[in-house]
Amino acid sequence: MEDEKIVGLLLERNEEGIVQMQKKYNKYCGAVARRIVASYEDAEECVNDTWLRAWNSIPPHQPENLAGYLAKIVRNLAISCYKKQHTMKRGGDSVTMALDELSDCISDGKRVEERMEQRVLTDAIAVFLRGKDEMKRSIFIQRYFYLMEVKEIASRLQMKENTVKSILYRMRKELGKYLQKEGIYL
Amino acid sequence: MSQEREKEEKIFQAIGNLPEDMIEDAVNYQLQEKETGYFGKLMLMGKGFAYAACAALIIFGLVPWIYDIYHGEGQTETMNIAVEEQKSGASIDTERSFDFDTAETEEREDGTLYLWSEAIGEKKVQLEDSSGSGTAESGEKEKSVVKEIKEIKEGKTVRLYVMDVTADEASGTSKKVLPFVIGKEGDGITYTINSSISNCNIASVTSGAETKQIDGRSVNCIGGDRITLNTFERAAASWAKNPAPEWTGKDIGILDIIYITGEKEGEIYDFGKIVIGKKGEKYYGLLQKRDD
Repeated sequence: MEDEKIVGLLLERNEEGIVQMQKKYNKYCGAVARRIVASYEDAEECVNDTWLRAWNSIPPHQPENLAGYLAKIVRNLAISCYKKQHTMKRGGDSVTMALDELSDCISDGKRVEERMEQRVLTDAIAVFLRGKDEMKRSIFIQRYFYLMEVKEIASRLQMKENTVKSILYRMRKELGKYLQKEGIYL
Repeated sequence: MSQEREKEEKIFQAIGNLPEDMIEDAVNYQLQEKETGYFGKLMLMGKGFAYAACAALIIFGLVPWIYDIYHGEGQTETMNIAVEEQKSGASIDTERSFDFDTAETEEREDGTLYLWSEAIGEKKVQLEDSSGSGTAESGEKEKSVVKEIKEIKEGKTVRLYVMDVTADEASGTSKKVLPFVIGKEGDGITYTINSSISNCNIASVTSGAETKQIDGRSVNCIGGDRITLNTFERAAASWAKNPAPEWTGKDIGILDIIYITGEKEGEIYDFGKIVIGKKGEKYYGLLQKRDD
């Protein structure tokens, strides 16, 4: 089913929208999650939460690009999952763990300034990336959004690993300079 | 959390909020990349031609050359008749007419034998349906007669064709025979074929549409007749003189020597002899002038 129709069903609060969304993007979201969290079960949980998040957020959101929208959700969920796991591995004390758990009950507690800062940074990175050719942009996003390994990117794009590494290195340097030029000091 | 770590996290999160189209395009980039452009297609075609040329060089150059080294010069000098599958029409005879008169362009002096090793077999061909709307349904296959002929020239070893024929109708057993065409049709010569030790005695003679089973050491036939020789190995060959020095070291066992003489209007011709050899399942022939 086309994305527009799926979004249309979700906007109508038709549960068939979830079924179709799962059918079409289960593998894709699973692949994104599995690159971040090690266990298959955790990845599966992240993917299931993605459907729920999408159901709860459409409407009011009306994503123009459903695949990208779902990728963002599943990535954020998987990163949260990853952080929780690492807190536990580090032998996180009971207070930290309890606070982490309670953070689920409250809305995103980021300050407005932080949110604004985040938005500015995202926009700057997006502008920077749009200024690059498609291949470089894709390599950057595949590595830092999808968290693909350099080896995997090289194989997908039929390039040498060292070429991918040097492209990424140069782009990181250029991004640093660009952010400074734009007055974004982290 | 260290300051450095905090910065990294901020960038990492910011990347996570990049525009959705950019995210999707990046993951699909691989597919777009694989769509080869005009220049790329040209390069691929060039590569394809180069590979084909190399393969042709190996098949048509290297392989026959190696074959010659191991099996003797002239083995590969075959005069193959191209077998063309006729895919339409009721006629299923794919035999290409072989003009024995024009096959040999060089003029030969009298007394030189025209001899051909001839393979006749059957090949299944697919016929098109009569409406011409495409290929016929499976099962509409018919056998066609196939002929391959190569000339045997004096002094050159030729791999002989072998045919499986029914040896005994009752038991259904088969035997291998070596088919030949002797002389030219209408040359007016009566040929006499003699097997020296009866391993390759004469199995049959076909004159026109009539075939006679012979199974004898000697037979007379006329120009253009087809004969088949048996491939028995019942008599141990012992030769005072090596009949085929050309085969020394090539591990070809000599089965028999077939002498061919002829007579035309009282004139006697000695056409020489064919040495028949065998190596594994392959049979070889070497036409020589009689020197004894």
